[in-house]
Amino acid sequence: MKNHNLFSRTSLCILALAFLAFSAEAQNVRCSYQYFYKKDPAKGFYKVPDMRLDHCDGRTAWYSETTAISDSLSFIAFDETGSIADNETYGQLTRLRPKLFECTTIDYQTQSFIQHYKSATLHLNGTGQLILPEWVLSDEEKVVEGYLCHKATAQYLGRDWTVWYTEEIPLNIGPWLLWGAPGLIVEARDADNLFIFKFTGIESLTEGCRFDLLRKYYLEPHNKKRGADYTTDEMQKVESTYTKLMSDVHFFDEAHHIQGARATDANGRELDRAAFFKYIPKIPTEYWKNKK
Amino acid sequence: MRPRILSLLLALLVSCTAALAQTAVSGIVREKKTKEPVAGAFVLGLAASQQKAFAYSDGEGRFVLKVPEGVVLDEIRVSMMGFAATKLPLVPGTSTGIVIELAEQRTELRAARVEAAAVEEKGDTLSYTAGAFRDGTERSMGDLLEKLPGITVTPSGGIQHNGKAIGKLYVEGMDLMGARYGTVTNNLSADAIARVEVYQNHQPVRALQDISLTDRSAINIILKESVRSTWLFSGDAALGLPPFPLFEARVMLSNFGKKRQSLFLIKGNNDGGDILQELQQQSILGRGPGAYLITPGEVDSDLRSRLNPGRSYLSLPKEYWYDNLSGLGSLNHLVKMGETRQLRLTLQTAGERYNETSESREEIRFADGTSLEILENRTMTDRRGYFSGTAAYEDNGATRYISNEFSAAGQLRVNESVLQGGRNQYDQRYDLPSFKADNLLKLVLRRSAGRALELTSDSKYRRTNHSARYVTDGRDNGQHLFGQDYSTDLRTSQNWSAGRHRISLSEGMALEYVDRRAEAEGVTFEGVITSGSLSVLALRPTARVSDAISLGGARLTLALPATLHYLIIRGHDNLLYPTLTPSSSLQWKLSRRLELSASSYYALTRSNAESLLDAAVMQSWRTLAVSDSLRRSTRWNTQATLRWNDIPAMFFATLSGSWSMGGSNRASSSIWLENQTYQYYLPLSTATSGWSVNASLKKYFGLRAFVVELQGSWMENEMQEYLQGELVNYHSARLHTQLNLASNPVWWFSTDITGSYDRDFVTGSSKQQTQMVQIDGTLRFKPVKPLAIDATGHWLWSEIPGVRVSNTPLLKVSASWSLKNATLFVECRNLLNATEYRRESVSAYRTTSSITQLTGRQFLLGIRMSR
Repeated sequence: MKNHNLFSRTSLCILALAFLAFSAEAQNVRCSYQYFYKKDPAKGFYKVPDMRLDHCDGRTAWYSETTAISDSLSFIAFDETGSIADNETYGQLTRLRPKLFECTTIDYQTQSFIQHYKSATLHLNGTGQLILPEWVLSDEEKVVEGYLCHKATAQYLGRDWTVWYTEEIPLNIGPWLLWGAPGLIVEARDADNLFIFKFTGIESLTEGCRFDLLRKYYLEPHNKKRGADYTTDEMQKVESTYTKLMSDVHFFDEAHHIQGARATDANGRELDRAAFFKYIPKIPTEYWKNKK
Repeated sequence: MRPRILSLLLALLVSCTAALAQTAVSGIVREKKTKEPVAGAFVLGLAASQQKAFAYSDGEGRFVLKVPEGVVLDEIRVSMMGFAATKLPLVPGTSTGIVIELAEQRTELRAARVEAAAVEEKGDTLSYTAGAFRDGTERSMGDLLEKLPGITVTPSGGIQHNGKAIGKLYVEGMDLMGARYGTVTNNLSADAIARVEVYQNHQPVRALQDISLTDRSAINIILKESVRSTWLFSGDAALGLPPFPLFEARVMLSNFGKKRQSLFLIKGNNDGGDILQELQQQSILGRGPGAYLITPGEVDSDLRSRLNPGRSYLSLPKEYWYDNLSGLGSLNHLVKMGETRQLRLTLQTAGERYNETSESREEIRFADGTSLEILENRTMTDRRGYFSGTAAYEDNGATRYISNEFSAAGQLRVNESVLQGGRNQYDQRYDLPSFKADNLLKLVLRRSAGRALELTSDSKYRRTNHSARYVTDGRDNGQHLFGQDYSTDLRTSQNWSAGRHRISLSEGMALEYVDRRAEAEGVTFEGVITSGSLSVLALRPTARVSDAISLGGARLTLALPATLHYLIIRGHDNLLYPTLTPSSSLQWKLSRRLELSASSYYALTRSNAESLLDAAVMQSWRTLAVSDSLRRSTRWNTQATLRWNDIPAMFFATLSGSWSMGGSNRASSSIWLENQTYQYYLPLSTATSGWSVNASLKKYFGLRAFVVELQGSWMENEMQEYLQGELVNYHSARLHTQLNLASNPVWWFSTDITGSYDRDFVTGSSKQQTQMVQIDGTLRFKPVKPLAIDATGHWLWSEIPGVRVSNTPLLKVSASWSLKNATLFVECRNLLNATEYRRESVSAYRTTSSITQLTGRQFLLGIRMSR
């Protein structure tokens, strides 16, 4: 009889834990954002108009729609040797122009995240444990896309962030690694005016959460032509490597075994490749130095 | 033993909890109404409004906040989807037994759409996200395309991009309909479309890609994932009065897959829907010089002859004036047989009865100061039955292209009119049976990366056996016109790609046989032959050389087509003459946003061989006309357009200008008598010239919120014509201005208003000025999400010397209620019950007033299925 009770309690616990999985059906949503970032503090913003934040089963995926489509098409377009397997899909793939080669996946149940980066054929994945931004909640209000929002500020991952969150969507998630406010973070910008996230819409997500797809794409090499993958729990290494890849042409060439590359304009005039290599990381380099 | 161990563990646990009392805050989260525990709630602990700790509630609603050292929490906030966010002030020192109750609250996803980038430009491809341009008023694909920048849709479903007819329409990358794609434009539900891609400078033949350049765009419709490769059913049904029963019915079954596509459509109405025009071959895709110029009420211009009774055309929605009973059936199937091959089968049939009641008054002013007044009251019934069938095979490989399209079409048409012309009543009847069959074979072989050989064979047989009878009290005139043509055209062309040059050299030989027999009964006009026949065999060797030169961001195309015509005419001397049309065009992308296009051509042409028939043909109850006997015409035309396309800023500006000069060795002449008009050509040289400038600005503010388009143009023409044997020179000029405002600032309101003002100046035998104001507008109001109230209006005001006309505004109001898969609607057309529409026009020697009867106030109730 006692055993039976114990079994029933265990079953209940499992059921409860299953329910604890953040009531998946009720909470699965896809939010869209625009992401603005600078490569040079003195110049204007670059815009990624199609950022998505999928929230499903207590996990979130932050990614660019075009990049995700491009990544998933590449599974079909190429075989495991890296040769073209499907011409039609390859044609579609070449028409896509992804703008952002990074995404963030967070598992709130384990309080862990992976920051994924792609540089040409190189894939970098940095894992880490979430830390709670100590948001200072303010009474300031404004309406964003029809939702009443409140302001909060915090020093987080090396930058002073100001965010606007809405309790009308009571999800503790947000773009990139911003999270933990009493509602969905719908707008965020840093004090140096280098990064801005702007919410543009939300819809319920009944299928097609891209969390698993993105992790699979970044963590499992699909074909042999794909360059070295690099996964580590030392987030700092991944961040500094990607920053270097994006800001140092010689390092980029070295990492991709490129020799004697030239860039020309439509008229054949040679361009300075180094001028294209500019990047400001969202987590500043100083943050890692201070952490040591 | 075991109870002791358990007791020990329990004691240890209690002591641990006591130790945590300073550093942890715990409690339970439960539902307010049922007191059931809530799992997975996000619990935040705050100190002085700063977040210091967080936890998720477990399966029994319990949570433990780990409080950092030295921090005293004073507030707890809890959030969870499906519940209202909750705050709880915390008494300092409280650390256990906190109960938080959450009240159930449905989370409203108000911005319920994930916005994709509305327009993206990737190389030569423009991709429009359909959702960003919808305002809820669009039903068909055509309605949606109309809202996309740079795209216009004709009533027959033809699509233009930047003012040029497109070269191909694809759905999911496949060309199901060929040139008769109007059925898709007008019937595919707008709801099924996810994106619209525009491929600029699209070369559909893969073997010619990068060798033969084209300035045509293609449109590819990308469907929503949920409707791909599935059978879609859509249908409309409506009933109304007067007259009862007024009806509208449509059933369509379609399936757009990657390997197979089908579209089956049956539709009919008697409420002013001109559905036969959907069956037309769209411009450019149709074959033959000048593509297909379709006159009102016509399906296929190949089935037309000089006996062609005219119908009125009003620039108003046809529901106000088009008195019809129409039906059509269209069966289309396409199968992809492997990577590159496909077979397309199309069968279309249609029938229509059209009625028209109109009256007109014409005043012809002669040089001697006299004038002639022609009055005509007409009641017309036009019946037609039409069919066409097409089988097309295509193998579009990278190095070899082969296609063969066979089609046959026929029409039976009977047109009857009762006319009150002058003092007499006329009965006029036309019997117009026609048939045609044609076959187009095309072969392209790509020899190397820069060379391709093209072979085309186009054969056509056409037969018309048309007759007309005009009966009045004193006369019984008849006209018979038989025509039979056979033509075959064989062309080869070689294409090279060499550096910046894309050279094409083509040569061909056309063989044409033309047979015409005209016979008039009871028609007499002094010195005019009214019966005769023509039999011509024409040989036409043709050569064409063209070079498309890429110059950085510019493309210059030079072309010289020339044809030598050798006509063997039965009973006459043979004829030999050349025609040629050298042309040049420039497309220059001056910057990412600015594009210049310019073109110029000179044309030395002749009328077609049919014009050698010397017998006059009685074309209507009062018009006897003779052909222009192979008239030689020259024309020099040049035009330039500067277009600013700033897609991210949604701003479009166009400035264009054109100039032309022409000449002819025949002068158009007419003699006007009380009961008859004789139109003929004098062997005299005439000249015409004209120029125009046109500007338009279009700006989208906030993408959907506000669109302003301003157009203006000035056009001048010099013409010459002979009237009663006297030369009439006249000069005409037209100022046209148009302003369009469209706005849908909020989901529950949208409006689109266009106003235009035209002023005409004619100087010749007399000076005339006219002006016209026309306003068209639509307005949509949605008091609640599913309910839409729409209103449309049209108003025309015009003034000619001595006459000022203001038509009764034509208003339509409708209300529709959207259900999940259908829309119920009720509408009232012509709310003010306008019974006639009056138009006035003036030329150098002619003033025309026409009144067309409208269909009056009508009510309609029905259902439209979106899917």
